[in-house]
Amino acid sequence: MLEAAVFRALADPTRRAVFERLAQREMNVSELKSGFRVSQPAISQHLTTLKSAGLVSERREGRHIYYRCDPQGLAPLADWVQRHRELWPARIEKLKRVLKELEP
Amino acid sequence: MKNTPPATEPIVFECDLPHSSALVWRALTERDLLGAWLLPNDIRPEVGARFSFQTDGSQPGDPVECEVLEVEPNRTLRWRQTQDVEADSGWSVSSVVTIELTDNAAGGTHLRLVHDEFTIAVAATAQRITVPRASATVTPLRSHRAGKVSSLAASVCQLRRAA
Repeated sequence: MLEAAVFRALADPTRRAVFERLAQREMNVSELKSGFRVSQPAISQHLTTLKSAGLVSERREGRHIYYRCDPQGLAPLADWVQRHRELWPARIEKLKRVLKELEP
Repeated sequence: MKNTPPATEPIVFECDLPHSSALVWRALTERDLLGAWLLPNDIRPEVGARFSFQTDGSQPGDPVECEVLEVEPNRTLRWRQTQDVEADSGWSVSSVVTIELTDNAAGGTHLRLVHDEFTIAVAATAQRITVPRASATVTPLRSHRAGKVSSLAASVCQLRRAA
């Protein structure tokens, strides 16, 4: 389930920090690593998780791979809210029926 | 579609009901009545009271765990609700529902419902991320030039950790 993948990807504080840094600008792994006390393989692993959740996308340029935040990945969160937005009018219609039955 | 409000903007719903606020209040706070239009529940209209909405279990995130935040009889009922995104995912979405009742000129009741404060909560560590409001506007970004995308992405991706 894509939605759960997004939630899981952002659960880890380091991963969230990686995501936030990439939101500022595109970076390669070594640029990205400089801001963290974790190893480069660890950063790469976080990037893999963020990519599979659709939160980060990559671009190859020669030997380098650049990563950037892909806001499209946040769409599942917006979808969750949208589902609730659509539920309320029907619920209120039911409330109206309940009230009508209560009225003496 | 362009008139659709951004998805993480508060959900606001208003209507006028031809009933007294006291009657509407009963439908909000008596378990059987609330259950008849919303979901089966064990609500107790007292600030701090915890209750849950039970559903048929067909959707992920059931049941919905709630806490009453505000009670002003015949006027305001406010609760926070939290539901798992998926069983054992460790993730839940929390939001706040506020229902306000006011007397209208027709002798009935004006009902205003606001559903907002959408936050993602990590169950294990209780860290929270507010869902960025701008996230709903991301869909058309792909058609923009790369530079524009990254500056917009920065605003979209600002995640705030609640205290």
